[in-house]
Amino acid sequence: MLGIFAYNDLTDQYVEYNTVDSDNPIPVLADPLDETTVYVQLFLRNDDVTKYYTTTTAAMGPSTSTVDNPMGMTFKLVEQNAQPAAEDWEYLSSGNTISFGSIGSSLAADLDYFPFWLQVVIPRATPVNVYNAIQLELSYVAEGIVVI
Amino acid sequence: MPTINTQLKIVVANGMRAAGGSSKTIQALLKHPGINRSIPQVVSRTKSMKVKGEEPPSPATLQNVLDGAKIGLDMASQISKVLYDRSKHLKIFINPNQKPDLFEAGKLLFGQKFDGNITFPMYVGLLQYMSDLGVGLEQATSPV
Repeated sequence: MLGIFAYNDLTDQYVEYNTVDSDNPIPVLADPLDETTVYVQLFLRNDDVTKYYTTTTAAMGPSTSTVDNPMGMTFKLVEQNAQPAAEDWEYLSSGNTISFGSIGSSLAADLDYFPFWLQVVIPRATPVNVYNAIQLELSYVAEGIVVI
Repeated sequence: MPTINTQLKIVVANGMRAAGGSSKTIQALLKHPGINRSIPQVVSRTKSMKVKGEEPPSPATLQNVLDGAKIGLDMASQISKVLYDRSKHLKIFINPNQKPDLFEAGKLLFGQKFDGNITFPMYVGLLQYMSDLGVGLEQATSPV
């Protein structure tokens, strides 16, 4: 199954974020006194040796429109290992979709960690609260490995 | 097409920004879920160190302590010597009724079982960092 991970520099281990409930969400902290920009490096990984995935994409959901997000926060994704430069984020639209293509093939699963970056901008004067509505949504088509 | 959703938890709270860009340190802490599991294991049965001043500590003090804990944890991975062998831990308390936003932040840092109490090991780097920040310390008179 595909999962979202963070890398723990202290323990040199990848730690998976819980995708079933909210006990272990991707955390973001912001101060209402100033605009806050948060960069989070995440990893996509398949841990199932019997599966490979095609048309794998990631996007922020269920919606980042101003209707569902009246606080004006923005959420952008970039698929790369190094942290993107400031100009790399500028041309992206909030709520953009990134594509990982195929993870593995019909002959073998790919268990590597695929890095990508999330940028969250929380505007100044956002009311003090805990916001849980935004989710990182992975879409994919799962296929079985062909055993020869 | 099937989907897998991972929730974001965005906490907007006063005091999450402090001088010196330390909000980056908080974010660095939050990037490392393993810390959630390591800190509760170091609860001391010996005497503790307490932050001077108001109880619960101000947001700025908590920020300093968290920054200090980051330094302390980094140092702990590099050195084994503990400078204060009689009082090895720092303990603070976040009252959920008085500081609900910070309490929520604490739950993010330490997990859903977080009850407001935070105990940190008192390593050389943590002590020095807090000293540099001007955070006063005194020895507790009762066990943690």
